Amino acid sequence: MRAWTESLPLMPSTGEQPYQHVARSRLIELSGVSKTYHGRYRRRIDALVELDLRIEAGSTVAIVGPNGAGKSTLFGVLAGLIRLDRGRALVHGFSPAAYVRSRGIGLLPDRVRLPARLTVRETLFRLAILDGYSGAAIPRSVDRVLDLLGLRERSGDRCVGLSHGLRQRVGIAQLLLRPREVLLLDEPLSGLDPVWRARFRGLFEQLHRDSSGRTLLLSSHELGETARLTERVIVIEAGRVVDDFPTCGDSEVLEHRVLGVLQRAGET
Amino acid sequence: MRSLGTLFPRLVRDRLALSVVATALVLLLTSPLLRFGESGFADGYMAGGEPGAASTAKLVGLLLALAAPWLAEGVVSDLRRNGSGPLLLTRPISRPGFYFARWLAGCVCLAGVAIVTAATINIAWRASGGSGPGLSLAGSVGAGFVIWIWVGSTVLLLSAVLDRGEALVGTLLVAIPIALTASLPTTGLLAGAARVMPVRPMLSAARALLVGEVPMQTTLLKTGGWGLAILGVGLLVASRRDWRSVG
Repeated sequence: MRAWTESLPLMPSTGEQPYQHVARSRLIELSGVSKTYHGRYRRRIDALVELDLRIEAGSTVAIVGPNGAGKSTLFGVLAGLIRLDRGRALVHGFSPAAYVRSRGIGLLPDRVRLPARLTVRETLFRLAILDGYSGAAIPRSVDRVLDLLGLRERSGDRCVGLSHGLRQRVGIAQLLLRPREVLLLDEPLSGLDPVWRARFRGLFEQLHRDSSGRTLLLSSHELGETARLTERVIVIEAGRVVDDFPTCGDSEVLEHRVLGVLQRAGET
Repeated sequence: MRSLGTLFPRLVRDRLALSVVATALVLLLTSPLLRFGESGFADGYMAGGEPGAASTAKLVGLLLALAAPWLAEGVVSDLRRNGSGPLLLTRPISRPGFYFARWLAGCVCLAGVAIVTAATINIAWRASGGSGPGLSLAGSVGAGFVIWIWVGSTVLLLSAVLDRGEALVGTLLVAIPIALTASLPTTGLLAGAARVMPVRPMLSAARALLVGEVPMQTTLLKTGGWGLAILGVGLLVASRRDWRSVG
C-alpha cells in the first residue's frame, strides 16, 4: 500500500463530518468487527480490525481502499460466507447468515468462478432454480439475463473457456436473475470493455431506480465511476474505516480526497 | 426445499455420466486381465454359486468402495475448488439441505455405477460360458447405498474440515484404510482402527448384498450408525465453515 501512495501529495483534511443520513432506516450495522486469517506458518493476516459501519437501506455506497484493505472480506462477512472472530454484524437486525437464508443477498465476487464443466446457460439455469423460479419461469428468466448481458451467443460455451470479461458478465447476469434488496458488487468493472462499462452503469442505475429500498454496495479502484454511481464513499485501509463522506460527483475531488486519506493512513 | 427438489436431477446428471464412463473405462482396462472358467479370486470375476463367488463380490465391493471417495469428494470440495460456492450459497437456500441433496445425488450415482459394474461382469461371465444367477443387480444397488452411507459421509466430513485442494488428501485417508482392511488380516493397529471406523462391516454388508444375501443386522447397524452420525457432523461443519475464496 505504502509504495503506491508515497509519491502522492498530502491532501489537507476537509474537516467534514462522517456521512450521515437520518431519513432512511438502518440496514447494515457492524460494530467492532474483526477477522484474522492464518496464512502459511501461522502468519496472521488481520483482514478486519474493530470495524464499525452503518449503512442505511436504499443507499448506494462505495467501499474503496488499496488491495488487501479488507473490502472483499467485508463483503464476505455481509454475505454470510465468512464468520467473525469478534464483533457483531447485523443485516436488517439479523445475522448475515440468517438474513441470507431468509431473503438472499446478491453477490458479485471479486473473481467470478463458475463450475468449469457446465455451460453458461446451465450455470444460470441452476442459479435461477435456487432463486426460487420453477417451470417455464426458469428458461424465461435465464433468457432475459442472457440478452441483457449480451451472452445469448455464448450461452452454450463451457464456463472453463470464458475470458475474464465474459465471466464478469455471467457474474452480473446471475445478480439480475432475481435482484435482491442488498447487492454487493466487488470490483464489478474489472475485465469489462468500455462498451460494457457504460452498459453496466445503466444497469446499476436501473437497479437503484427499480426499488427504493434496494441497497447497493460497490467496491472499486475506479474512482471516476465510483463518483458517478454512488452517493457515499467509505475508505478502508488495513481493515479499518479511515474516512466516510458523501460523494460529491466530481471524480477529481473524490480521487484527491481518497488518495490523501490513504496516504495519511499509510504514514501512520 | 422445492428448489433443491428441482435441482436434484441435475446434480445426479452432473456426476452420473462421468462416473459411469469412468467405471466402463476401468472395466475395459481390467478385462484383459480376467480369466474366466477357473476357480478362485485371482482367476477373475466369478459369481453365483461357482467357486470364487464370494471373492468376486468382495472385489467388486472393494472397487466400489474405492470409487466412492472420488465421487464423494465433489459433494463439498468442488464448490470450494471451483469457487462457485459463493454464487450458490448467497441464495436463500438451506445449506445443510443443499449439501444433503448433493450427498444424495452421489448416492444415486454410486448405485448407478454398481449396477453397471455388476451387469457388465455378469455379461462377461456368461459370454465366457458361465451359468447361474451371477451378481444380484438389486443387491448391487443396496451395496452402493451401504458403501455410500459410510464412504460418502466420511469424505463429506473430511472435505468440510479440510481446506481447498486438500480434500484429495481426505479422499486418500478414507481409501487407504478401506484397501488395507480388505486386503490384510485385521490385527493390531488395523484391527483397532477397524473397530473405531467399521470398514469391515461395510465391506461385509456390501459383499453379502452383491451375492443376493441379506446382510447381518449387526453389520448394517454398525455401518449405518457410523455413516449417519458422520453425515450429521459433516453437514453441520460444511454449513458453518468459512468460504475463504471470497476473502
